[in-house]
Amino acid sequence: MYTQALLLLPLVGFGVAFLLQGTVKRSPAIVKTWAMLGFAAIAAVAALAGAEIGTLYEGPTVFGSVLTYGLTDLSWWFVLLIAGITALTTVFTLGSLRYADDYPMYYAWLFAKVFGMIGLVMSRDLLSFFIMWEIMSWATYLVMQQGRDESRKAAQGYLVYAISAGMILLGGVVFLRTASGSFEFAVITKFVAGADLGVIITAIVLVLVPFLIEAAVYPTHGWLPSAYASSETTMTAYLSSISTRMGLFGLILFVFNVFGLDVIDRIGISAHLNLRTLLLVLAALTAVLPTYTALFQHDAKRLLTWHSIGQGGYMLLGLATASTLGTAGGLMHIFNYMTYVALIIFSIAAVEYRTGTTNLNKLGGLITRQPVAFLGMLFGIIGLAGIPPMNGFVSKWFIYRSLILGGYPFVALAAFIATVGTIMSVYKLIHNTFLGQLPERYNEVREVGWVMQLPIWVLMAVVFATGVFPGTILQWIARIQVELGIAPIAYTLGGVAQEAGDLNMMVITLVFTLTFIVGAVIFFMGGKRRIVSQYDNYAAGHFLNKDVPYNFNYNFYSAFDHIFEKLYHAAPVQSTERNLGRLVATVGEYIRRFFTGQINTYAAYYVAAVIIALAFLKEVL
Amino acid sequence: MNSGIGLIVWIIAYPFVSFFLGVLLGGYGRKLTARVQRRVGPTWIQPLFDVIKLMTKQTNISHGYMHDVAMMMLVGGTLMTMYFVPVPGFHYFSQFGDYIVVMYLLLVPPLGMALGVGQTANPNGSIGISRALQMLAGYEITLVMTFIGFAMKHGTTSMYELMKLQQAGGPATWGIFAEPLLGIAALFALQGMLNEKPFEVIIAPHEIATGPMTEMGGKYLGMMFIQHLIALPMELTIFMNLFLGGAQSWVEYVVKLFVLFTLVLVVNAVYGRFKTDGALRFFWKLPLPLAALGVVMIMANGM
Amino acid sequence: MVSPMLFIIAPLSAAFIMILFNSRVIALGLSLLVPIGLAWLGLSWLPYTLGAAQPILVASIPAPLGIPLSIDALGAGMAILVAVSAALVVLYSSSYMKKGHHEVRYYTVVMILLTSAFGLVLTRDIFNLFVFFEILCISSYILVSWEQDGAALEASFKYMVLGSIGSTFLLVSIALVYRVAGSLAMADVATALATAPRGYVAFAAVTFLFGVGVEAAIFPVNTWLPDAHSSAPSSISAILSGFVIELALVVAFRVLNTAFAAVDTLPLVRVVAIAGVIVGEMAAFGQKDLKRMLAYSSISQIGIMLFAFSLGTQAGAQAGLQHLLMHAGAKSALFLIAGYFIVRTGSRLIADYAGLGHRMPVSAALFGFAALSLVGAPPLLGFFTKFQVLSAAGAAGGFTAWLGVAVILFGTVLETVYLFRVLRVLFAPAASGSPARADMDWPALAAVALFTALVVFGALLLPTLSQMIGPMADGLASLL
Repeated sequence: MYTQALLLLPLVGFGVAFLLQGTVKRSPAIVKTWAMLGFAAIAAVAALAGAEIGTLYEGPTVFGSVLTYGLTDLSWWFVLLIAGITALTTVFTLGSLRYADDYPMYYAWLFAKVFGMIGLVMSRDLLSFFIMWEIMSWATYLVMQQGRDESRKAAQGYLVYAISAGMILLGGVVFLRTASGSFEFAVITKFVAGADLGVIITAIVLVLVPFLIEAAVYPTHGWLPSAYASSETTMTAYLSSISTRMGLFGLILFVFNVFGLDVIDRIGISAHLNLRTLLLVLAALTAVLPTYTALFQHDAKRLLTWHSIGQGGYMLLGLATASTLGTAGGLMHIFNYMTYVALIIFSIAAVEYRTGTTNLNKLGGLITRQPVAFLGMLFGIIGLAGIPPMNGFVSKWFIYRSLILGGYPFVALAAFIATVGTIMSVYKLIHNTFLGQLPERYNEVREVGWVMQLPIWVLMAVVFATGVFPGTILQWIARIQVELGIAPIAYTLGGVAQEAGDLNMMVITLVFTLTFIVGAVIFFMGGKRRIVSQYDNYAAGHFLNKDVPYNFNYNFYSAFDHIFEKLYHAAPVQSTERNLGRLVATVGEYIRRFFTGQINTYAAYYVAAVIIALAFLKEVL
Repeated sequence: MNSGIGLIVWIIAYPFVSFFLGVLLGGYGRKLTARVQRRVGPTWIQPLFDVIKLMTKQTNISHGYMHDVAMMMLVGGTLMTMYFVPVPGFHYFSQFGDYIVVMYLLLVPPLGMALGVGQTANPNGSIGISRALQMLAGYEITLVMTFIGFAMKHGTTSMYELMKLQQAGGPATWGIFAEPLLGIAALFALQGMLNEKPFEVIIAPHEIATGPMTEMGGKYLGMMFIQHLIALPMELTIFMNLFLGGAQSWVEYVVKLFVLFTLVLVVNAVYGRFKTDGALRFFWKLPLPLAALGVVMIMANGM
Repeated sequence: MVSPMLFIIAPLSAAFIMILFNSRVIALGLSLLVPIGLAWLGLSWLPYTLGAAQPILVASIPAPLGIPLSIDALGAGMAILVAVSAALVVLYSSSYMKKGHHEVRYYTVVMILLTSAFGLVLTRDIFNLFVFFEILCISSYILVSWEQDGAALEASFKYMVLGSIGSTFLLVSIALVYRVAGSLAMADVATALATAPRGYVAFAAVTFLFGVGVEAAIFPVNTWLPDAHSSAPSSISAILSGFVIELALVVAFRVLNTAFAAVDTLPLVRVVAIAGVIVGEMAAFGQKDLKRMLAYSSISQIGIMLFAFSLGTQAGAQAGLQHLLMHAGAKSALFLIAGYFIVRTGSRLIADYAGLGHRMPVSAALFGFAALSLVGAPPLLGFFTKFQVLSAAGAAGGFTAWLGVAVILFGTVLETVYLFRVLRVLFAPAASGSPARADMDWPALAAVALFTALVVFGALLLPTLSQMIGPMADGLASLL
């Protein structure tokens, strides 16, 4: 019953929001409240639906086969993530969203998107999976294309990728259906296990490539930064935190469940050079390159969207090892990244709400004006950089450990290189926003209201608590691993217990708390301190006042700029993308010239057509 | 020292021991550098005097709460890391966190400092932090490469286990002898990790007025000194545990500390300073490829 | 039962009556009532034809002349589609066509076009087919030139020249066939050609294909289409793209598949279809003129249907017919909306529609939905029809079938990109303030909304449709 409700509620929500937003533009409170209640209801139902795991439900019959849906451990986990983050986002938008003019259909498309995503993870056959995949892609496009012209352009870019992915997947669906004779996952699994290599490779390429595109794995990530960064800020948080992960969901489902690891590992030269190695390499590139691209960004949202790509690389790294630790890390990182990236972007949204900008060269010093937002971002970036005791550390630890002990030293190194880049760019983020000199124009800036603070506080608690007690998350992960056919992780409340060494976050946190207290004691043993104005500062004898900009934030990592400037501006992926677009347009133009507009050429076509056709038929005859 | 009363006593005493070692090492460093440069140099316990002086200053300038908290994070984070690095007779906390944990814990103090420095709103400080973070991409990556190779070779990521394996096998199995490529690369990385010349661009007193320390005075600077003195033996110990077989007795431990530090100091005393991009390029051209080559060789042997 | 002869008689008489009275009201009323009546007539025949194993002979002039007219499920279905589309387009025209611009003549010609369309559906005689084909062509020429401006006249002229060449080919084919068979009833032709020299038959078949293919917009004899469909009044574009080319396609394929069954032309047709898909989409990709873009899109969509037919399987035929239904609805809606965009802005260039979506929100939204269905976004009708085409191709197997699948998928990507480029322009920020609302007039809006509703909610009809589609698809392979 809850399972059906999970599909029905977003649909109802969509219908009502669509009608409301079309008619009551001038009183957004109604729509906002409706959306908030709707998503809260979905979250509540999602939590209750855990009781129905394993039960299959039947939908309408299409093309002679029944569409089936139902919850598994994996899909319930994703449903919870989707429902939870959507509910938090809508709470935040209660305060932040000024939608009437720029975002007229914000909530309607959001409901549609949630419908698509929940439907996707609950699909239990190939056809419903594809239908939901497409609904989700289109809803994502609609969500993105609202707002400024810039976002419409970026959404167009997304659409090209999404529809390409969709069409490749459709090819895969048709291929698998034709070859196996059914849409049912079970039948396909059986078929693939007995198929010959050519068929398997075709199926895998057609099915997995779309997921890589949706997960923005290098080099198919080109659509993501602009599309996410130019969306409305809460939507950036939403998209970054969960939307991209749907590609990973597809990957997990098909690699581990539908195709099965045995089949996947049949493709390759040796045990160490196979499809999973390729995935690992792609994942490593995804982790490293976008992370360092983030260093060059001057916009807070754009900087984080590059991390959305990069952190996706970590998840794929963990999953591609297919080991207990690695998959646990990958799965957990999906959750962890969702929580702290949403937290960081909510903080940015709070700043944007008061200052009207997310430009890192214009902000600064807001720590005294918006301490809650600062704290939110601090928790978030500690998580993102993967520093204890926040949750980001735990999943990264799993991933490193699995890579090092799994015998992938250079992939592990790549992961660490990416971590260094992450640390650099998150510090730039928090420094240029909250630290440094406070520009005079932001003197009057205040903290945002409690409605917007609420999601920030909640996420801070989650990021911290799941970092100290990773066992709370790992118990779900272990269940999912069993379902995926992987040995479940031996989790404890504080981390993991295993032969190669334990991890106990509770002890680490306890030690940190105590040593921090020692630090505090030393601090308070010293003399009384006095807080001075930001202008009371060392300036080599110069006098500072509000007219003297005395700040370092532009071109923050100048050595990196210096070394990598050329490479960054060459942007090989983006330029390839542009050239491909141009190529299609040029070829299209040449083909269009077939229609010359001259009757005499057209008449010649007739003769040519008949002659060629006869020649062709002669071949056939 | 790994259970019962002994453990508690040691946990309380360890910070003082470590601080004491740090004072000795720091003083030794200043003395040695002075002698290399044909100066007399201060007394051996000058660092202690510095700390006492700074901590008892009457005027303490703060730029806000983050500035204050940063100091606690700085010292607290360093002490925390210290507990996770095994020293002779003490490895209790190693069971809760391996070298990967230590690697990340090492980032806590710099992060704290970076946040505090950020709030002081001094561009010199921010530049210093920017340089410090960029330098991570040089030495830290090199160090991690060497560690990865080593951990892969022995099949464990625990620093204590690695140390024990080397002690069991004798000096021939010490990292620096068994895998000289990794060892040499790690020596370069150590130089960078300790911010000694030629990788001293973070402080660079003549350029950016001591960088992160620009706006620090009184007890703030004092706490930074304390942190530095605790971190000094700890960072040397990490290298020692990975590449010099750790130490089985305190005598061996202290001897190895001083020998290793002497090596670092001598290089420091005679070299100039790389610019940030120069330092990065250096790390990426020499130590990192060396380490990578070492890892390749380990992989080749494994096959 | 009312005789299906009415399909031909009613519109023809309506045309004469209109001319006699020369009154706008009567013309409009008649041209609305006649298609609605005929749609009802088609519906009333549908159950019988579905039950009948053979086409039901309606009227016949006995041999040796042998001109049989008969109705089967496919004929009834096509007749309903034509009648409903025509009724909706007339409804749209009532507000779209400029008042006083020879309106009565316009409706008259539309009625004559309808006559020939129904005739093509019913006839089972090749020469009769030629006659109706000529009527269809000539009325189309007139309608394309309706605007009387340079572009329209040029397009109409080109259309006429090319149509005439097509007619000549067709006539050559008929002559060849008559020489062998001595009769022009399709059943006789099929029997006679079975024993004729294959080269001879092949030549007749090819000339027939490219002769009728002109009207069916088969590659490469569809060169008139981009000009004609874009220069005609939008209501006419909707008729031409919405059912005329489809109808011609079905008739051409049916004759080729039955009367000329002696040679297997399916591989040839399949290649031609695939080429049409790719050429149409590629040409449409760079278009700056909205109606021309839609016209090129029609070329590729026709290619998809022809591809489905050419698979030669029952599944392929069914999929093609369903796709035909979807395309009729979606493309009519798109052309009709484009017509009002042109009325509101006075331009056919997409670039001039910036921000138009704020002035015409309902129209632009309907445009979006129709486009979504055309590119096959689930759960709209377009997805199901396209999926069936693809899975029929997969089931048929073979290199060209899979090549066709790949080409259709690639074409869909292009189609999405260029159609949604239009939408992006439509909803670009308005140039100045919030402009006054100026949606389509209500008759036009009602017509477009019905077309769009068909393609949006059409998936709900699929269960009903799937029970009827079998006999209809059989119609593509049945004679008499």
